Amino acid sequence: MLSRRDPLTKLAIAFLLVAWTTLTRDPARLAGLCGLLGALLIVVERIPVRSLLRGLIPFLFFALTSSWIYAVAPNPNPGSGAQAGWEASGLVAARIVATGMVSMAFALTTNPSDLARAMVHRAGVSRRFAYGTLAAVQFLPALAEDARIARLIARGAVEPGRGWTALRRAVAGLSFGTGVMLLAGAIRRAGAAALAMELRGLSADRPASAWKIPRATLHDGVLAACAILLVLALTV
Amino acid sequence: MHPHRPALEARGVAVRLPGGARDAVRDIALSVDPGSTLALLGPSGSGKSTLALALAGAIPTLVPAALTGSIRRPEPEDGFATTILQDTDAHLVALSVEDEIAFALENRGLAPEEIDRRIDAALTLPPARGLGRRDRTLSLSGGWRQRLAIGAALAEGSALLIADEPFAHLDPEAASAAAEALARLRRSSGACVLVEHRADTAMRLADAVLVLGPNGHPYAHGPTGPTLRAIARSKDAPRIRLPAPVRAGAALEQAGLLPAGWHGRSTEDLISALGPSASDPLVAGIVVEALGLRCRSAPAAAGSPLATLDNAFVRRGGRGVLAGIDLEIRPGEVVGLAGPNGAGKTSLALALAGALRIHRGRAIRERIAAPVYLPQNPSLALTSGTLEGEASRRRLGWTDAARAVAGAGLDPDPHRNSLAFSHGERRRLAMALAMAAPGPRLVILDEPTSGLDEAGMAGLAADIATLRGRGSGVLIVGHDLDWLATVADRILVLDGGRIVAEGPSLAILARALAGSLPVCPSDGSRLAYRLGWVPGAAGPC
Repeated sequence: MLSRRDPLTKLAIAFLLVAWTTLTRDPARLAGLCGLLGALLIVVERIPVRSLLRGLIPFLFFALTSSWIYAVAPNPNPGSGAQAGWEASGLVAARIVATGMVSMAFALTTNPSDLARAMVHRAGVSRRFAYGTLAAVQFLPALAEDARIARLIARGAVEPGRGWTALRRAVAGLSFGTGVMLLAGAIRRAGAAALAMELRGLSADRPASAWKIPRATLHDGVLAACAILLVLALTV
Repeated sequence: MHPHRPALEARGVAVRLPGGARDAVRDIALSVDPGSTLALLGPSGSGKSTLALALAGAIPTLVPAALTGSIRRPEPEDGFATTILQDTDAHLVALSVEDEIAFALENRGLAPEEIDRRIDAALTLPPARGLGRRDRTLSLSGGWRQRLAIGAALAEGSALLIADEPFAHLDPEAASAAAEALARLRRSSGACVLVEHRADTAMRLADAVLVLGPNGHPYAHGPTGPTLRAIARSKDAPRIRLPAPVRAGAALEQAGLLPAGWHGRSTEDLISALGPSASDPLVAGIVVEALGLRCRSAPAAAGSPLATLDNAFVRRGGRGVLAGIDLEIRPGEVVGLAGPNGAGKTSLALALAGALRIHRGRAIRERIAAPVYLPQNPSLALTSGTLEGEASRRRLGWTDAARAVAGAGLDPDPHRNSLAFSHGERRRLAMALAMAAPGPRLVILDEPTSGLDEAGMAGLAADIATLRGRGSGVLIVGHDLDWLATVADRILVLDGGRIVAEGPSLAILARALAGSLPVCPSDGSRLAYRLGWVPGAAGPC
């Protein structure tokens, strides 16, 4: 259902929901939004739970590491007690997770190429920026693979052993040098990708074709109306 | 396009890279007519890729290098110029196959219906046939990504195609299909410039060759047959990988079995020139010797395995890539791994090395043999900054490491950053450092011949022999079945994630020549086979 909808409409709805999550002060309503989106993704869109949870890991980590500060920070209003600190902490965590859920709902149901095309042709975003970002999305799995292979090679360079040697072997490859190599590789690859895109006519003088540009339809209007009604229902 | 105007013309071209003390290439003069193909040949580091970038117009506008001389390319109204870069990973920009093919077509401003038509056409013809419109580019193997890059370039229907090592990661069958696709471009009056180490494939297409010397100067330039003949007979010519029929022809001419002055370039040319003497066992013997198809007798491997995969299943990106793999590598054993693009060869190498999780089954590695894995991208093996750091990480004394680095023909400066070497030099450096480690190891080489010139191939074969002598177990992933058969004791053939054939190298080569395996031998063994040679049988070898 969502995966067939216009990317820009979905983007606007995502912005609306993220704005609502930053303004609302009720963790229960945020949890309700998360539950609703989770059910929609798992039941209707058939997104594997594992994929959803994997995508949420950075948000959960951020929620965990940032919200506790509100619980332990000195309270400027001594009369409100420690309870207020924990409530603030819970609210921040709920906001972060709800933002993550909205982001995942958008990311998991949107084809990046469709989004790039819609941004270029309907939102006036430069082709160089849109396709450069798209190419960067390709690099992330390759970079992770490179990091894994580099670590394997580094481990292979340390003879197996016990004690200190085993520890050295375990941490081999987690070095500054590996980071520099990966960064250098990423820069080189980004440069080569930019060169390839230019050689394939990205900056051609003539206007680009309008091929497969997603268009907003009546269904997208219905989706937007539903989203607005949802926000109103959650607010009131 | 004006019928009598060259599609590409260069006069007095020289390129100097930033910080370079001398020109990377110089004194280049060439002309490529519509419907013809020029092959750019030369040893590693001779400036072929730099010249290709200059011819494509990337230098000096996109790459900061100094260009002198003049280059004339097709005007936009004549149909553009298309370039395939050496680094296919960086060449692909979109997430799906159809988006990838459409990218340049959208940029050219083609009508949407025409874009759809060209995508359909590209996916029904080699080399991209077999791909689906919505296949994800990220899940494609290196070979299939290269096939997609060629298919997308051909879909542009340009007046000029400049391709830098377009066959490097292709299995021989896919390379032939890609060559056929490029031949179609010629028939439609498109011109082509090919930079390629795999001369067998490139020479089938080339009308003319330009051979660069190690210093970036033109060494020879002219029609393909006579120029290659002259190179094959010259003592001081750059060491390039000449096509098998050319090498065989030179040897036969020297033996007086071929008329002097023969300058054919294909197997058919050679057999036709030999006439009735093509069936003479002496001819086959000379050809086998000239092509280096030396029979390797496979001694029974002894000792307990250094590494074992036992009924191993591996999944990547949510789909199974290896199924029920059984493999043992013993000390002093060299095992080749061949198979078509996308068969799962790199996945098997990574699983054996411990970089991929075994989903089902198990992997056992002897503790003595910390695996040495040399990937297709040699930079991944060089993460310690300086050469001294690389030696230290491998627990090598600097004296030993410096000797190994110098032995690879590189400057053993301990403070030099390893990433400052060129791509080919990094490959040699990584191999030299792996070689310098004492004792038996499990060594896994992933497509080690890709991008190597003749000298590099010979050096690599010598290194593998040294590893065997030390009792190391070696797994080599490769597409060149002839070369694998000369260095490996046995060969595994992988297809669809399963081992479909396994046996002594010569037996596997013989089966491949008989057409009973999903791998295609190289031109050299096919030529010798046509002349009566049967790998492993008594006779010429």
